[in-house]
Amino acid sequence: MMENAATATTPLLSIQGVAKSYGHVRALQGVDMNIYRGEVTGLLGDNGAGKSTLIKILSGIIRPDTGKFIREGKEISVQSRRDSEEIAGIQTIYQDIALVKSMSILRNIFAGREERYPFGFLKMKKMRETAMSILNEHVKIAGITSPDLLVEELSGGQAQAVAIARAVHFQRDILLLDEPTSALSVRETNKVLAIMRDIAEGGRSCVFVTHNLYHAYQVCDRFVVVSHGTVVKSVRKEETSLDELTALIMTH
Amino acid sequence: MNTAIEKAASTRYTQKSWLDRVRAHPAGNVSLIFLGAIAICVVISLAVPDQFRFLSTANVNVLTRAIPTLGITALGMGLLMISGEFDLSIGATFGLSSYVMVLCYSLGYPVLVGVAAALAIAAVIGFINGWITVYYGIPSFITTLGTLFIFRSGARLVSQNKPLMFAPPEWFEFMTVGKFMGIQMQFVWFLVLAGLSWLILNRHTLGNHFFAVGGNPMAANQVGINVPRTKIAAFVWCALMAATAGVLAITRVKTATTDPQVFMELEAIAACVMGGIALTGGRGSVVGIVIGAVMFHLVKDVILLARLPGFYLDLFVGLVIVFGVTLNQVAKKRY
Repeated sequence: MMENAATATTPLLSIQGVAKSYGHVRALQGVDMNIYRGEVTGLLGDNGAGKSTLIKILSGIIRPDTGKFIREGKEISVQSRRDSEEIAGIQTIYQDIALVKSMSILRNIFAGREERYPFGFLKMKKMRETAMSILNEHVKIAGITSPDLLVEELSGGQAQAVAIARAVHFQRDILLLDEPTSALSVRETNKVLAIMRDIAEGGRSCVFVTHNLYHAYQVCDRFVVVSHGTVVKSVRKEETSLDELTALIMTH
Repeated sequence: MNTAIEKAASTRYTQKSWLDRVRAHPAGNVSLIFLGAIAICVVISLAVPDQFRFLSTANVNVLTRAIPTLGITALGMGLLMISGEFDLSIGATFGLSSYVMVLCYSLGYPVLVGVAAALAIAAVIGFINGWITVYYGIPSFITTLGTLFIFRSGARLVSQNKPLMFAPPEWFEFMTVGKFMGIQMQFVWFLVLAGLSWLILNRHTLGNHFFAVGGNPMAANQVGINVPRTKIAAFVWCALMAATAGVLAITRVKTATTDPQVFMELEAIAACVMGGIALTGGRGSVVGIVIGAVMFHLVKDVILLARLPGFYLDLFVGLVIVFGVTLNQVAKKRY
């Protein structure tokens, strides 16, 4: 906890004054948010609060009308999804569309970033070894015996764990998880929450987007509550309570 | 942990049998049927060699000459179907590109220039099909149904409905449709292209992207795969295979016509479906495509050898498609 407090002085990434309008609707009206190393940040808010717009801006899919990205004190420019990954260091894991279900785990892990020889041929042996180490080391995923299993053969929790493991392996500092637990069973949810904790304690950080307060309260170090396109509360866990957070989401 | 829970957990999942594992492969079912059919044909032809000449040299020659045209077009169609699209215009591509090859040659250009022209035209056709489909979000069934008629009439325009004789140099004829150590060169080309398709699907970045864009274009886009470019590449590959099949077929019959190749596209799709390529994209294998194409002609051959009326072939293909798709659907619900 002491260490967290010390590192909390310079945010790993912060966004300032981010605004976005669609026609006459101001989806985001000047949002500030800090993401710190070693923490899980809960991004909370009811449907329509502006969460999705914020996620899309963080992952580079849409560009804000105004606002800036600051990474470890330096202003950066995020113009595309690639910039979000490579410059801001954000890896986004979307709710349902993270993996191609009809493909094997191996093909999924390397889809879009294959290990290649010249002329685009694949380094199968290296990819297989890497896949094995991803499955065995980064996140121990129970019940996955082979990287050749199709994703559709996995349970929801296993598939989510594979998506997270892939993101962890590719060394991004910030994992942005969009409703990762919404379709999972109790046990699978606990597994995914534990993985998020591990990632944060390993010195990276997670942004956990959810409208399930109980899941968020179990793992998050910090909460950012969004409502009507603004941040209505940004608070460390010690300084708040489940009741206060519930009230914030309900009343705004 | 509670022993009752442990016991229940240990007996809950049983090991898959080898049969289940084979059948889980996209081409599993058809491979089993195929092996069974071949075994039956061999046994019958050994038992009554005079009535059922399945293993005779003449029959094997007929088969190995007939399979490559369908097989090569199916290799193109199969990879395109894995990417989630169809091409109904391959018959027109087949006719137009092979006619252009013969035309170039008859105008005095070297035969390989003709082949290059045929492949170039096919690449352009594939690009047009793909570009219209992906950039305007039109189902490829519709796009290529339209371009089928456009390119077919284009071929008629070029040919003025006049057939062209084709007498290529001997080496070219040998390399494409000759016989090497008793094996038809067309069949060798089919196997070489099947090998190339396998490499693309399983050992090349492009194959990984084909599966991804066919299985879930949103997820593919999310991980940074260029979905339009990948699909266009698949359309170009399909058209190139149609042109290759055209070049081989025209060299064999030595006359280029631009007759409509009726049902060529549907036969290629049928062979792919028989071989376990999903109509919905994202699933399939080269082994399946090859077996599907061979099965198609195997059945045709058996019907001829057994002197059955020809409509049995259509009946069989129809049943295989309906049953094959139904079986896959049932299997999906069970697992």
